[in-house]
Amino acid sequence: MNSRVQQGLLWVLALMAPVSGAQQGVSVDVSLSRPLVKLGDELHLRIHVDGTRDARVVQPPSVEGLIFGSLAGPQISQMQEFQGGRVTSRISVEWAMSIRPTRVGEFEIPPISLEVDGKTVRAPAQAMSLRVIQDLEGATHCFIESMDVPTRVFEGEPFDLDLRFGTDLAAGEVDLYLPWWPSHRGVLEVKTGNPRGTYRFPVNDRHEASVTELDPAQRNGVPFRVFQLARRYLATRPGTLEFNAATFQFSEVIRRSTVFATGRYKRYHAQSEPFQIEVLPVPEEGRPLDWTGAVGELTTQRRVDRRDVDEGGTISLTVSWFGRGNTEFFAAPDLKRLSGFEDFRVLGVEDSHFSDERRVTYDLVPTSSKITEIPPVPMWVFSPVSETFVRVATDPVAVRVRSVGDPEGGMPLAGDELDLFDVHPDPISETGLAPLGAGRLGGAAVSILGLWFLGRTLIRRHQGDPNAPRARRRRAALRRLRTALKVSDSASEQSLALARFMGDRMGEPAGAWLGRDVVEWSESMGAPLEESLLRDWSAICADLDASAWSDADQPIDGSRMVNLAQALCAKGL
Amino acid sequence: MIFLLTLIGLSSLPLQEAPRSLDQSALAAYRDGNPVAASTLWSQALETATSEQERGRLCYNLGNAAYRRGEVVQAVAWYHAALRYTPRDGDLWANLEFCRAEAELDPADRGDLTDSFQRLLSSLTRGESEWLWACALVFLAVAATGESLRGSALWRRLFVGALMVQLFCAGPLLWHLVHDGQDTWMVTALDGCGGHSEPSDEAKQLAHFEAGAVLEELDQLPDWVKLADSQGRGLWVRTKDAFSLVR
Repeated sequence: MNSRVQQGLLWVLALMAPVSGAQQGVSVDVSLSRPLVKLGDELHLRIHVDGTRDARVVQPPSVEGLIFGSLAGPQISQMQEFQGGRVTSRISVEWAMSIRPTRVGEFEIPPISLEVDGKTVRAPAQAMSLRVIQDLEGATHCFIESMDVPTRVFEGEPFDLDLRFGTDLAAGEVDLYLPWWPSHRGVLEVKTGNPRGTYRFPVNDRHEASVTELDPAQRNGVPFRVFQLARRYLATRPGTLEFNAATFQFSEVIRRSTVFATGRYKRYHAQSEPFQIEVLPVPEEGRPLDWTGAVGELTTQRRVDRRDVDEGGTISLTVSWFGRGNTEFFAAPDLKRLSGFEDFRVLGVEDSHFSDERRVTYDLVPTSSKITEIPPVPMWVFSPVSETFVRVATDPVAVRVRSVGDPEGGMPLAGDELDLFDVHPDPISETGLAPLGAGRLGGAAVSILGLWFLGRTLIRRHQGDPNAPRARRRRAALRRLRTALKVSDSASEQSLALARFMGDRMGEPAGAWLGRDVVEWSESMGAPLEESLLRDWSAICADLDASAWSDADQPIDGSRMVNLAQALCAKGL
Repeated sequence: MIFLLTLIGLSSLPLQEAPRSLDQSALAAYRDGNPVAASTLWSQALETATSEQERGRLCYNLGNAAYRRGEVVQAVAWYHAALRYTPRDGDLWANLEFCRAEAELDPADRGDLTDSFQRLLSSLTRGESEWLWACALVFLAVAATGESLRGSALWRRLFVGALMVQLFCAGPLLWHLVHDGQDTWMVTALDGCGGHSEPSDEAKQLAHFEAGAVLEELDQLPDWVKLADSQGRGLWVRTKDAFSLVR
């Protein structure tokens, strides 16, 4: 076996080495970042599979009292190295999952099920123990509590969630962990007219919440800075709403970050008590047929843009419902279906919502001059306080509807007296404009643009830019000659005007044509001019010279030069 | 280029008036308070009329007759049909809005920006729209000729202006090109009508169309027409409950 064959075999073995290495020694390691944590702190579950990339987590763990975050990963890493003439390969897959305890206690996290190379593996062999202890220091320096949370509400009834938290520590960073933020099943956030908060604090590491700072409060004789996170929610379905404990984390700055060193923080945690809210359905008993879903303690007001209107004119009736209720979600009354509005025509409805107010504007057209008022607009509202359906109605609005046929008004008849315009009795003899055909017009448009483009390209290619100064002078030469001849009062001026004309037409300076022998010039051209034309031209030049060089310098007949110029232009000069 | 335009082949359709006797009989019946007979006679005249103006007039008269019969929504439908032929007829618009108000329908022209723009676009007949664009094309041809021969700033501006005029003048024709091909129907049953999944009364009713709703035709069978609802579904409606606006 020669040396070249041996070298080739070695390379083949070297290439096979990583494959064999990767297929050996698959190991799975599942571990917690810390076995002991303070309540409110966060830890991580790390899942590491070594020796293969074909692995997946079958089922993430679930333990009561622990909130598991989403599974981050897989993160795949691969490494090859030459060691002692051998190639070794290593591949690994890793996932991470955050864990946040919600109570103090001992927890057992069961082994995690993974599928590795098609086989189900459970790791670690024993359940992982986690001990969660109270952050006593945190409870001393920080607090978080829910204020005046209702224990029960009705479906559709808004309720406030008032979270107060604070610390007696000076400098640090604030983090809030709210399990029900930013959305919670069974509730909708309702916008209120409350001013925006003074700070924006991070919530759940991913969101931000607007928070208001309240006046400092004394707790155990120590002044605390107090913050308020207030939100209004609306229960959307009956059942029990679970609000898990909220965590307030304050990271006190021990040493600030600099360019050369990372900062050091000491974390304190405080947790609120979890709570429940029972959501009751709106009772069927006593529910009016025309109840449109309004729940709350609502009052109503009305406003009109005018109260004196002609028959057929428009009155804008704006009805507002105020108060603590689901103002955004109920259906506004349909005036067309309400008794009392038979004599009104409803032309349009504009519906809008402003924090605690629902505002609906109806465009009403009174159709009878007998109308004296806009009737009340009633609406049934379920009151959670009295647990009954309450009818809220606007006050009637006195209006005056003038008949436009009133003699006092002196207006033309309208309203009920309106009728159709008569039939058109005479057959129309006009044919109107016959269609031309859209296709033909489109074709003409395209043709015009195409011909325009072609024409301007050809003209510019063969004759140059028609807007160039030389081309403009050439076109205006005859006109300028006529003008110059009209004002010239000597033969020398006429001679100069003729020279200018020729210069403009030929693109030469006017001086080039003073004293030029036109016969000689014509012969030098490719196509000489006609003899009679040259004779006239020479005669004009001779007459001009004779007159100009005489003492009188009398002008000659200008029409001769104009005729000559026209003849030259006609020859394409 | 102007010569090219002359080659377009302009032609006018011959005037075909409704037979005068039918029209006069219908008018006499209408004046005698017999709108049913007037409707029948004007309908017959409409079948033979080919002039757009005359068809518009007959549709208008049929709308009046329908109103006198007490069929207000059908009168609205006839006026809408007439609008295709005589879109600038003031009497027609007045009667249309009057009948829509009587039928408690929204005005055909609410006066807002959208409706005003739509009314502006539809204020010309198809023929007028095409002639308007033809005039604009003549202007474009002149401006294009001047720009190619002279190339001065004035001609250039005229040419750009002519191009912009094209956009404005082609608008009504584009509106007609989009809308004229649509066979639209109006629901004329007073209480509205049901949209069925199949052309049968036993078929499931999937939607309810209010009176005055205008829907596009997808298919037609004897006594039934398939109309597209707002979600684009094709639903079958009895032809007696709807009215074709293409007359």
